Amino acid sequence: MQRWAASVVADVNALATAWGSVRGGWRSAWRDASQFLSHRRALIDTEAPTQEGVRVVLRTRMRLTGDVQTDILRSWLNGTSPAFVDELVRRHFSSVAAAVQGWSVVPAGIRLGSLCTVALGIIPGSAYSIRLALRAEWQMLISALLLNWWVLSGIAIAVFGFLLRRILRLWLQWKFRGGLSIR
Amino acid sequence: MDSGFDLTGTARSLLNIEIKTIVRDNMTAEPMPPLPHALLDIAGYYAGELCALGVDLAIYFAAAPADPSMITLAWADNPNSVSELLTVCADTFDRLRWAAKNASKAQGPQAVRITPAKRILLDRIVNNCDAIKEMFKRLDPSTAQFIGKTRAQLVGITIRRGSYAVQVDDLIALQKMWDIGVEEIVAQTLVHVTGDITMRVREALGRPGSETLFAIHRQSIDVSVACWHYLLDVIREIAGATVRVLLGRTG
Repeated sequence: MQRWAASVVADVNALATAWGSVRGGWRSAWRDASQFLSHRRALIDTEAPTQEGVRVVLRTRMRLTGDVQTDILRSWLNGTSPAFVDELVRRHFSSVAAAVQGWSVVPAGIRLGSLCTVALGIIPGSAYSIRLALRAEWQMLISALLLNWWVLSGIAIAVFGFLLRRILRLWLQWKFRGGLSIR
Repeated sequence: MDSGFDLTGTARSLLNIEIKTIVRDNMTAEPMPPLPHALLDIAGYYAGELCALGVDLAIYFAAAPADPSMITLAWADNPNSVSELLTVCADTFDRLRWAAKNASKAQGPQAVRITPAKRILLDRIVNNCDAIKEMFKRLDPSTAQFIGKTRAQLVGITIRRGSYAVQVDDLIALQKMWDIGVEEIVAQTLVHVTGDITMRVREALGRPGSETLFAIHRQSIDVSVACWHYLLDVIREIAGATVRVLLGRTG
């Protein structure tokens, strides 16, 4: 129970963090997540003025395989004051962290969505069942419940909530297998 | 284009993270081209680097002998380019592999140009060529249309999305090779899930003045380690029960 509650809190935190992300909220989190599903990596570029104009000076690729590659433009590194480099590097890696945090919106969203749907089904049905149990005969309870539209729809919604996570997982696996559009 | 993807293998690879820092002279925003062009790009990078080191690649790409392992390495001050002889086939990478291998173990006055950093690069060329040769064995029959083609011949072909299939794991490996090319990795850190950390830095990074570069690598490590659990969480949710056993906690 404790672990389950901690998981819910962690998922809510993940969504809240994505909302306040330096990269621009849920929209950017979704963009990062779709890039991840398509390419199985996050690619974060940071531009800065150089002698040849504004160019990409820092690029980080964080691949799903656990491979992280940061490229630095030599001319920018050699021709820029260390203080400015430090500041830009700090901002760059803040963006990298935000982009990868955005990925966690997908599993957190799926888990919370499934949980909320189950709760949506269980709560009205349970409330009605308790009320009926207090008023009706115990022998009549089961048959009364099975004839009640609210209870039946609650059960259906709760089952759908349980299935939702599996359905979304299958969808993600399908997206995943069909991704990597690097051609 | 891609077929099959081993989520368990991906999860297993996430038990380590590898952080690399590279200093480049140029950075372009272009994505990796279609598979045959990407293979020729990689072959071109390796051939260019070997020529820049003074390896006479032309003798490796001469019609005979057929077995490149039997060729004796030769040096040249201005070696001829072999870019027009590179084709989409395992043989091209086999020839590049043996040229790099022989250059790596070369002795004598000509070999002084092979610095320790270049030796690491030559080892990478050998390993990547071997990996690509193995990929050719797994290629789908739909890629047969590109086999043996030079760049000039490929330019005349319209390569349509979905007209060929490649294993996703191979594409990921190829993308990494294409991304890195022949750039020197100035710092590389491997963090194991057990807590072991291995760091390899270029000699130059230990000299005064390279503090900024070292600080960038350190920040990259910090962010990567901090974000590691997000990667694991995503894989766990997508892959489901099989991978959860490997990764532990259920969500």
